[in-house]
Amino acid sequence: MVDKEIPLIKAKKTPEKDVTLDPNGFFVIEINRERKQIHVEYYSNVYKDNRIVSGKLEKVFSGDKADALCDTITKHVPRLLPEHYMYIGRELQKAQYALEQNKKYIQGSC
Amino acid sequence: MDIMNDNNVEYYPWGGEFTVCSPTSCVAVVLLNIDYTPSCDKVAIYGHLKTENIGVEKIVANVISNPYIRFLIICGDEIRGHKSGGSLVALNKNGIDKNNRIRDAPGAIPYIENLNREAIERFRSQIETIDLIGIKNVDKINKTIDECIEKKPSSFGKPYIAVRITPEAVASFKDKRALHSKIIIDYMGKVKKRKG
Repeated sequence: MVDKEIPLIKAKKTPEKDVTLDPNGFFVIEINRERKQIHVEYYSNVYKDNRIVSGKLEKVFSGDKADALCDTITKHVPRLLPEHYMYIGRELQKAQYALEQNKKYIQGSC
Repeated sequence: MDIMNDNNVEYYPWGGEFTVCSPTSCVAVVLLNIDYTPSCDKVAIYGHLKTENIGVEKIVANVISNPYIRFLIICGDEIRGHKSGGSLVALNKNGIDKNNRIRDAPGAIPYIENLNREAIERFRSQIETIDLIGIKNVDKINKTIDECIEKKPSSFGKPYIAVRITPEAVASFKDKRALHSKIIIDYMGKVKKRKG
């Protein structure tokens, strides 16, 4: 006898072509080696003819740890899509690793 | 290390992934698809350019903050799709239209949204772009850097700070008692329980 059945869902990556761009903006993540900091810029979308062509710089975050940056970004940039927050978390962890290991960091796509 | 100019203003205010070298050099180098490191004794700053919108804006904001920079050498193979090197050259040559699009830029979305027109005009007046797009020959690039230095141009004057990133003001409450919702502190500094 089974009291309750819990679904086991197999993970599947969303193809890049199917990724929904966040209407609330996007982020640029860079490493400042001189200051040993991860530099995260938050832009609101700029639309021309109903497509995103650029962004307005709204906020800049700086830190050397992914967890602190994640917490701060979540607090200061509310209402992003859930998958966008998760993407930022992944990227910031990669950036922290690159900063600590002195490796090259290139921001990945979603 | 912050790079300060004579007026104690920080150069290169927007930040980005670039290398800062000799602050009074007249040359900055933009690297497209090229594996090349300019001599730090000769250039003021160098770094890669990727995008034809925000990438171009960052270069403009950073180079006009240092009035000693008068030449911007753009070298290496063009960035596919973005055509950011050509867009940067077009901005210097043609400026932007009423929709903030760089006139006659080859890139897909060459829009300037974070700089005002005064900053763009300053870029066009202060900076001469040297178009070495498609050139990866290091000797040729080094020779061009030397030729620019030999011209010994004067400083353009005061720095132009197009974007300033200001640290957030953080309130500090050292006396945590004042934050407690169930207590009040009277005018004598005595802690009392809040009524109700």
